[in-house]
Amino acid sequence: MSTELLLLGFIRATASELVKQVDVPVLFAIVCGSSAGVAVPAEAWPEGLAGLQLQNRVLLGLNESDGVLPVRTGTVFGSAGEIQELIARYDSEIRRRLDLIAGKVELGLDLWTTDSQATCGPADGPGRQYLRRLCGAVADPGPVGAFCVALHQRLTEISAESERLACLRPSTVFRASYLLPKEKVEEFKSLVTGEVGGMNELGFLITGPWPPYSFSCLELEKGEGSGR
Amino acid sequence: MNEVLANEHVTLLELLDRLLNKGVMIWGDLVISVAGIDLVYLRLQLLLAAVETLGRDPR
Repeated sequence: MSTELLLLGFIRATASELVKQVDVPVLFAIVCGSSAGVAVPAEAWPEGLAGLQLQNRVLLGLNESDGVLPVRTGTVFGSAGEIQELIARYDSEIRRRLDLIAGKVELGLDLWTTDSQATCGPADGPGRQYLRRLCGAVADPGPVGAFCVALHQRLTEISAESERLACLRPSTVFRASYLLPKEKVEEFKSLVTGEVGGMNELGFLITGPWPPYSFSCLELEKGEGSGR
Repeated sequence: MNEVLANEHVTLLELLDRLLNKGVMIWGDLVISVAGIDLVYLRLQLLLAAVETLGRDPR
């Protein structure tokens, strides 16, 4: 009887031994070609928030050691053979992306304001009104918006890649992720602190370092023989 | 300035957003279970059917 496997991420085949150094005994690597999948038996994985936090810790450890491409949470395979088949088909793409993110971490930046004029306000009332306010804010971002664009440009210049993200809260005026070489992390923090620190109406939060979640932009498809 | 949410809550939101919305996407069966409840059980063909239906009836 086969056990369902939760696929957590991809690593370079040469780093497959590092899986044993992560303090999670059920973790194992499935090597195929120059890449490997990192998996756990689904039944042995904790449910809920504990499982998500453990997944993040595992990926962070693997990324610290070499580099990992996180797989979206909840991706389940019927067997190790299915994972090998997937890697065999996409080995070159996976390896290319792994080489790009190696030695780098993701940092998140969240800027918010108490100035209601600089945001589109809370998403209360009719949805149409909110969307109109949202469109207005996009069309005319004002001085805070212009500051965010300029800051994003400066941060992008010291990053390998960057991506603006959807804001999670109504008060948020800017949210983005940056893929940074590890040695650039302090420079990034200093730059943000210096630039945003002088803006009374703005607050900021730097999150991370994260595994490169926002920069693992591969879309793979299971083979026909892999369906359950 | 007043913070709307404490930093640890924002960080948790950031973690959930990354884990659930980012990373390598593998098309096929996808099961997301949080607190023992399957929040999403998705097959690509079902998603396509839903979009097609949406396109037929804009209301």
